[in-house]
Amino acid sequence: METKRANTNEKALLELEEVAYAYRTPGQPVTAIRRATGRFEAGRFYALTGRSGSGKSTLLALMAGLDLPTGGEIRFEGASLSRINRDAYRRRKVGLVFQAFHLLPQLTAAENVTLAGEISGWPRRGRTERAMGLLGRVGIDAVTARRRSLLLSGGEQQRVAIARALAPEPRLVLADEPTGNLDQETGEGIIGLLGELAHREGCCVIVASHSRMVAGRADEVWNIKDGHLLPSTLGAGPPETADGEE
Amino acid sequence: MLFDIIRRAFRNLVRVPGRTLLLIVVLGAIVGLAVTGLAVQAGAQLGLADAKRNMGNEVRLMPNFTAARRAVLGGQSMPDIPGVPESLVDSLAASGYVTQTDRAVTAMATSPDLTPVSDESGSGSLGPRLRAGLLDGFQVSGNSLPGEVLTSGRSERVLAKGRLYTAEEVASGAAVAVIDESLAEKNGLDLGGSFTLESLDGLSSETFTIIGLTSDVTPPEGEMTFSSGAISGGGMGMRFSLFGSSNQLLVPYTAAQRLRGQAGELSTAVFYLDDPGHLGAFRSEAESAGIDSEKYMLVADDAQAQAAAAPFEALEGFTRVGVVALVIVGALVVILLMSLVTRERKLEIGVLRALGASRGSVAAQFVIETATVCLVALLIGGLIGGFAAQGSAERLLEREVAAMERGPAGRTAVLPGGISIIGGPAPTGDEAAAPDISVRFGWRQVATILGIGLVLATSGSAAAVYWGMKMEPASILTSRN
Repeated sequence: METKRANTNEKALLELEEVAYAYRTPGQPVTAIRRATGRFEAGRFYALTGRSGSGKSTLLALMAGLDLPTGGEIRFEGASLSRINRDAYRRRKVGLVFQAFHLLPQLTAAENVTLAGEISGWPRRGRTERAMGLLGRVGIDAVTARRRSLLLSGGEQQRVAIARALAPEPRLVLADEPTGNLDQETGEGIIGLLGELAHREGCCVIVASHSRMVAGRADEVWNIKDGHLLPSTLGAGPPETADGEE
Repeated sequence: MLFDIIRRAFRNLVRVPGRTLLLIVVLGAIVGLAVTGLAVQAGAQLGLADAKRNMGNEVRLMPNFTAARRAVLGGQSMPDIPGVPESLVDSLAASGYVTQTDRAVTAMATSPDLTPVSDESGSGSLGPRLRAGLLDGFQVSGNSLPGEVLTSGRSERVLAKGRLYTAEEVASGAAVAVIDESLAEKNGLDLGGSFTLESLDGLSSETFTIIGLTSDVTPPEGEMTFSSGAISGGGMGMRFSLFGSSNQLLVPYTAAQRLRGQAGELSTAVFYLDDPGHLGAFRSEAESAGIDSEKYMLVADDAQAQAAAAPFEALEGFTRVGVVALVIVGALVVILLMSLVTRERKLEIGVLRALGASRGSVAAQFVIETATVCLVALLIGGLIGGFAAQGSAERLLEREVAAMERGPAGRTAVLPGGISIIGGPAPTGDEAAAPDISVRFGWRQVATILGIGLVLATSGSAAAVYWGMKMEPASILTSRN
């Protein structure tokens, strides 16, 4: 699939400028991101590729405002994340999807979605119906929605996680290896769903993945190498993978 | 928003019952033990206070028989034993440590109107001799505190009819008397009736009006318990019943003084102190007041009081230390437990934070969960502790008493014949009655239990909040943590 380049004249939803991030481990300091610069627009589906440990998840966490870069700046709609209320930013603007789904096991599928709605400020009345609506959009029926999330299959859990990410009606959806724990067919379904979010809902969807399939379905592919964020050139072929993984 | 946080907290408690139950059981056990300890401590404090109030706060001023006995044993003639001057009693009664003073005068008298009751079972060993013609008379017991007259040495009486004499009648020296109903019956007397008493030397005679009748309720030998009291004292100043309780006539001490012909003198005086701990200070005051120790002696049975109070003191101390230790250990256990539970929930914290929940709302949820668990544990632990308290208290007290009996302190000495020199519970047989304990839940205990609950809830919440706040969602969700 052809990788499209962003139109630099359009206003970017999310901008990374010289972003660096380092953290300390018990052994030594680790520099996860050295110098990452990029622009991400609404209505587009981005793939973020790179070797294991290249910093994809860290970069997504920085984009989500879960942490602040140790250098450079991340701007959402022109506002630096370091200057805005990042809790409110995540509550209202960002939807997060994780490889391990991270659904709360004590809750049903519907309650997991409702929880995100509660936090993002859904009115009390009609929450369940609204959650069921979101679950319906990702292909979860009412019976499955009432089951504890722990009892769902991997594909179902990831669909519920996507529905949860949609609860705040986000402008930015960040997905970290969303197909990593799924079989190929289920993974393709999930990626199709995320692509729809970008192209039909107008969200900016950024998916960190090793998968060629994901890179192939993305509008634009960015590769993280040696802590730098590099745009894949058109016709450059599949992204670099870590160890022969797809 | 708060409603949502509360709902979330309760939902978590219900949906993860294993974790919730574990916390409730541990906290409930801590609270239950604390409640038991507090109740036992309160009961021990009450028992201690009772022991001190009933046993350790009496000081008796009496003629010094020891000096007289020493003189006799030394080959001298029996010295004249004076009564206790009321002026001396007045000066000691003015002490700030003295709450009440009972002035007692005992006189022997005969009566032309009354026939004594033949009471072979009377506790006084001289009764048969008196009735045999050596001395056909009555013991007239006068006190200034009317309530004190009903318990006398080995006899216990209750007012069966009429009334006791009043403080006004004591002050005025009214010729009124309370007599035993069997004596009244034998002599055909009733309330309002009168009889004449004559002093042994025949110099004085007075007619008394009966205002009350008593009934002897002395339990059979071996079952009797002693209470503090200050009746009689007799010419020798000791407390005993020479004549059997049926032939003992109770009158205001002022009337007894007239009959005895020694105005301004008492047989004994008993000072009730506000606290047994003031015994030494009171004794010092008395010595500085210039009491002639050759003539008078102050006797306090503090050893007996200490012996009675010792199990309660030991129990009170043990439970106090136990409760404090329990609260400290409990708080540490709760901190440890909540730390583990919170760290185990790091993914949940990360997800909540990733969804946009603020640190404050996550902390509030954990505080509500901990507080709820503590509240439930407080209720359950309180109930269990409350039920267990009485049994635990009794067992602990028994253990303390047994330990005391094995120890060197042992029992206090009682004079041969079972006559105790001063008021206070004396053993009636080989063993005194075991002390009782009654656990208490007053406002103070309830407040302390709530305080303990608050300490546990605060400790647990603080641990949960600390660890919850310390966790960085980025680290959790990117598996760096």
